[in-house]
Amino acid sequence: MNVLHDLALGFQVALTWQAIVICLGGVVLGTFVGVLPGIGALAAISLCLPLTYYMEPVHGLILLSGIFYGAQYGSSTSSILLNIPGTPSAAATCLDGNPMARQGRAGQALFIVTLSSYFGGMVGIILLVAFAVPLAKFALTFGAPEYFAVMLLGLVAASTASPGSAVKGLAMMVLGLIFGMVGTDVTSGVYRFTLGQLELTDGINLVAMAMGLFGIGEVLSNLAAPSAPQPPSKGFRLREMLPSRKEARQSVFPAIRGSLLGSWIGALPGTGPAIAAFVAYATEKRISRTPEKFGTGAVEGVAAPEAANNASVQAAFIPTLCIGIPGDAVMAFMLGAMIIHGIVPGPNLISQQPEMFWGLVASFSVGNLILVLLTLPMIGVWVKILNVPRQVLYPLIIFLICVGVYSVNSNVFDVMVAVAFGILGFVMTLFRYPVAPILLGYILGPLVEENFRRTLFISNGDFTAFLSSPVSVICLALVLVALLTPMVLSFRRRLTSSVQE
Amino acid sequence: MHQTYHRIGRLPELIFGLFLFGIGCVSTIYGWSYGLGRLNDIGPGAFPMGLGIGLMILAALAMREAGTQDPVSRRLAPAFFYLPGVIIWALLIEGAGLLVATMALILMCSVAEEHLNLKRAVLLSLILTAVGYLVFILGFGLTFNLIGDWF
Repeated sequence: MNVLHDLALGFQVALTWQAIVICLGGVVLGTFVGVLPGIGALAAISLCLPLTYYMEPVHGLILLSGIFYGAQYGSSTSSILLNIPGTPSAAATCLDGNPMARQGRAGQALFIVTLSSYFGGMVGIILLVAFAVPLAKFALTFGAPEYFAVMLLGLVAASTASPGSAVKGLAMMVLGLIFGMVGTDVTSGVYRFTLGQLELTDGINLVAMAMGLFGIGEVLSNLAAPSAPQPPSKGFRLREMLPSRKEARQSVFPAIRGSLLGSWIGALPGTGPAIAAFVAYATEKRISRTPEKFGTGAVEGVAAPEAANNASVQAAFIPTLCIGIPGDAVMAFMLGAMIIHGIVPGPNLISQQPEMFWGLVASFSVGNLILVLLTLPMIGVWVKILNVPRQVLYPLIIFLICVGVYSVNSNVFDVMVAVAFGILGFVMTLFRYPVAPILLGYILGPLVEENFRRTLFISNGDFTAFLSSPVSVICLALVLVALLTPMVLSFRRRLTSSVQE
Repeated sequence: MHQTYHRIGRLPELIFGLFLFGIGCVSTIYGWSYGLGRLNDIGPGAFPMGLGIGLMILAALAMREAGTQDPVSRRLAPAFFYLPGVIIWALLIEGAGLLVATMALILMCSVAEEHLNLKRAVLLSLILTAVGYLVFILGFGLTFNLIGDWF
C-alpha cells in the first residue's frame, strides 16, 4: 500500500497548523476573486507570488493552488445571481443557474453547485493520486525531442482551443515566446532583446508581466465595460437552500459524468476548466431525455459543468507536476512559481521531494473541504462582496499591484514593465485577442527553445530526430490537427455561405 | 463626466495588427544579428528569427479578420487616469515615500470616476497607506519608506 504511505506523508505536511492556515487563506482569497466578475485567479495568484518568497516552498504552492481552485467555487456564485461568470470557467453555469435564480431557486442552485464542485474536485484529486506515479515513470523516458513535441502541442492546443479567433490566439502565443527570449541566452551567453537595460538581462520579471496583463489589464477592461447589475441584497438561510429530493437525484449522475469528463479534459494539454465545463454541459444536454429544459433552469445544467470545472483544475496539476509541462496559463504560472522557489517540476519531483508533492496533493483535499464548509454558510458574505463599490475596489487592486510588483526587487523598472503589459493587455481585450497564450508562451519559450536546440545538437542537425519516438510523432501529428482544424472549418464556412449566395 | 463610450472600430485594430507585425520584424532582424548558428549547433538568433517570421505571418492573417466582428463600445477615459497614476506612484515611491505616492495614485484613480469624491479618495488612500505600512513594511520587512528622503 504505497499510496497510503505516500498520502500519510502528505497529510503530515498538509495538516500542520501553518499549512491549514495558509490553505484557508488561499481558498478564501480564491473564492473572493472568483465571486468578483472580471478579476480572475491569475491576477490574485501573481499578486501573492511575492508573498510566498517568505514562506517554505510547499506552503507557497499550497497558497497559490488554493487561490486557483478556490476561484472555481466562488465564480459560480456570480454566474447564478448576476448571470455574469466570476471567471470564464463558470460561463456554462450561467445558462441554467441564472434561470434557477430568477425562479427563486438561487439557494438550491448554489447548494447543488457547491456539492458538485466538491465532488468534482475530489474525483480530480483521486485521479491525480492514481496517475501521478505511473505518469512520472513514463515521463522519465522522455528525451529532448519528446519534451519539445509535448510542449509544442500544449502551446498550439491552448492558443487554438480558446474561444475566439485561432489566428489571434496563435499570434499571442508566438508573441509570448518572443517575450520569453528576452534576457541572457543560456547556451551562448548572448544578451537578447535587452534594449541596453541591465534589468532585462535576467529576462522580463514574471510577476511584473502577469500583474500587468492580468491585473492592470483586467482592471482597465472592467472599467471600460458598462457597469454590472447589482446583486440581490436578500440573504440566504441554509435550510431554505436545501434542494428537494428530486433535484438531488437529478444532479447525482450529471455530477459524476461531469467529474470524469472534467478530469480527463483538465489533464489534456491546452484545455482548461472553461472548456471542461462547456463540454460537460453539452454532453448533458445531448444525452438528456428532456433537452428542451436546458437553459430554463435544469438542475443537470448546473451540476455537470461545476463538477467538471473543479475536476479539471485538480487534474490540471497532473501534467504540470508529473511531466513539468503546464496545460494552461495558470499552470504555466505555477510552474514559473516553482522554478523561482528552486523546485524543478518534472518526473523526478515525486521521488526526490515526496513531502512536497504529496503535501500539496493532500492540501487540495483539505482545501476542498474548507471550501464546502466556507461557501454554504457564508454565501451571504460573498454576495455582499458584490456590493463593494468599484470606486473603492479597483483603486485598491491597483494599489496592491503597485506594491506587489515593486516589492519583488524594490525596483521601479518592474512597475514600468507592469504598466507596459497593462496597456498591452487592455488593448488586446479591446480587439479580442486572448491574453492567456502570452503567459503560456513566455514561460514555455526558453524550455521549448532549449529542447529544440538540444535535439538538433544530439542528432547532429538531423531533423528526423523529432520523429524518433511514438510520443513525439503523436504529439506533432496532433499539433498539425490543431492547426489545420480552424482553417478547414473557416474554409467550409466560407464555402457554404458562398453556395447559399 | 467620463461616461463617454467610444466605438472600437476597424482602424485601431489594424494599427494594433501593424504593431504586432512590427514586433515580428524587429525580432527577425535582431535574431539575424545574434547569429543563426548551424543545424547541429543552433545559434542564439535562430529561434527569435523563426518566431519573428511566424509573428509577421500571424499578424497579417489577424489583420484580415479586423472589423469582421461587431464593434464594441468602451469607456477609454479610466485608462488615461489609472495608467499615469501607476507611473506617478512608481516615480514617487522611492523619493517621496509610500504615503505621498499612494495619495497621488488614489487621487488619479478617483478622477476617472463620474463624480469626484475627494473625501472618499483621501480616506481610501490613508487607509491603504496604513494597511501597506503594517503589512508590507512592518509585516514583511520590505525596504521602502513611509515618508521619503525628499522631505
